[in-house]
Amino acid sequence: MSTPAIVVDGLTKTFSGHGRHKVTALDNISLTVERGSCLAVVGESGSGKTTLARIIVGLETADSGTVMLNGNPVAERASRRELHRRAREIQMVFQDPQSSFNRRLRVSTAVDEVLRAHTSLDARERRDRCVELFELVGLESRQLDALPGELSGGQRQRVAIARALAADPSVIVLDESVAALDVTVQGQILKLLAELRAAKNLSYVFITHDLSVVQMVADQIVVMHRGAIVERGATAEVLGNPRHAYTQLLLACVPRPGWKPQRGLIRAFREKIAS
Amino acid sequence: MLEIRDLCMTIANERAELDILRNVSLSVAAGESVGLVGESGSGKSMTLRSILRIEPSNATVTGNITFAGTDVLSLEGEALRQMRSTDVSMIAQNPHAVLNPVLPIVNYLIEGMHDAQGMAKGAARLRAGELLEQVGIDGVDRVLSSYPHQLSGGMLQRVVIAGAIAGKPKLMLADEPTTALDVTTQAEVMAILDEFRRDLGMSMLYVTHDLDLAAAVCDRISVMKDGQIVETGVPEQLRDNPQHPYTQQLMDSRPAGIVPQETAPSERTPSQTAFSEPDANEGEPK
Repeated sequence: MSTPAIVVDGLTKTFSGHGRHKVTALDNISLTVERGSCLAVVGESGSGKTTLARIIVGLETADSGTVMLNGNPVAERASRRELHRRAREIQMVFQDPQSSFNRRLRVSTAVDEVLRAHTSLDARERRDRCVELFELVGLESRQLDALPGELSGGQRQRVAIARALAADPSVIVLDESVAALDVTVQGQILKLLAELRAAKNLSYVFITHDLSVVQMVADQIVVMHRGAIVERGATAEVLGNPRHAYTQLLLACVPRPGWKPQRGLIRAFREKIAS
Repeated sequence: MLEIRDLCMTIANERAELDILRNVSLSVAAGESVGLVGESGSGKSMTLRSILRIEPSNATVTGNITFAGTDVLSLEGEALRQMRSTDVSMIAQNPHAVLNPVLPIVNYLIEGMHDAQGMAKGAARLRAGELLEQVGIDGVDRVLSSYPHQLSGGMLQRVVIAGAIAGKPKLMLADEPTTALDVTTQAEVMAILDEFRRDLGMSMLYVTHDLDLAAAVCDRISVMKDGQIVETGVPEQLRDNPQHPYTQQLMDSRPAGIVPQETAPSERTPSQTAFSEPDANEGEPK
């Protein structure tokens, strides 16, 4: 078996809040993402899922524990060269396609910057590569020179994916990348992500609060609650036969045909989780 | 209760005139709950805002809106204020935009009761506490003296609901009230909203992008796209036999039945559910 794309071992992170108040964002988190697979990290706000994502890509450092990326440790204090090398292995796509671009720069410039940093292509070749990348994510070449504000949310998220792909990474961390999109657009982006993963043997860490999205993209799931992993397993297994009360609560709250919100049921689950 | 006929809205900017709403017609009967479902830019929020006459200042609105026999579009001054303060209440998506950040929660709740209904401040404060208890808030005194930034989004949205039902309005307008909330908080807030609407016999016009969520709390649903209502029907009819391709598209973009029916948590009562502990080897790498 090949080296896993990501191995996280015993990750712990505490933030200091007001005064002596401390918040444990991550409590001894361990997980593995096999090459070419998609792991969904599911949780609500405050579960620690975004902190986990940020530590995996090296935007944040853990208090203890290690992250191995393609068999190499993600070092706590990386040199410029190390950061540069890591950027070609792992990229991130954020939730808000509005705030992850400079709104005064053409979107092609955002992609071109990555190519300039990570390839030896000349200006003409980079332009050609931009066109290729735009085609790959389902955008038209006339949209290369658009400003971010001139594109729709779905189109901007496609540019964000193109930008991530420009570095030719093997791993992409997607932090709530479809959460801000309309449902019909969500479906299109999820389909694109699945196609790209198959075509390029990419590995994904898919951070989300939305269980209905999970089954469309992920092979494996970990469910996080207050900084800890409460349940993990194959997607169909976890969704079809949830064992932890918190996973059951999450599933019970997903609107679906015939569903009714029930206060008593939610309260009963919460009491069970707290005990 | 509420009758909208051929509502059109045009917004002119320096470059062009945009048709925001095109001949929108819908009705909400007394005690009925109607959902207005669409994606961003479909005009659902603008429809809602026209009812309270809080459309953008550069918008031109034509058509007819009748609320409890009154022509809303011709209302002015005190009559309009009266409708906004006692007959119709609104719950917006973002509670932070509703609550004054420099005043404690109690001020928000008693303001309406004191000013609009002439209740004495002491009595209004007691009533505010009762309302918060009814929407499932523990530690009412602490919450009443808190400022908005000290409370979670779910808690704030409950406060807004408490304020909205305080005056026992005839019509509740809800604009994506749970979109900013976690999925479990969303279910709780929707359950509370639905419960109060039924208990008080209020009518509701509920704007959301989530067809399944609307189906859970609405008697009828109108689907909106590009400023027009493309289809109206009872939830089961839209689900089983959608007439418009766009309704079908909305249905298809969500996976049908996320879990097999026999294991759906809603099918079991918590007492029957075997709550298993997390695996003993949780936290170990696989």
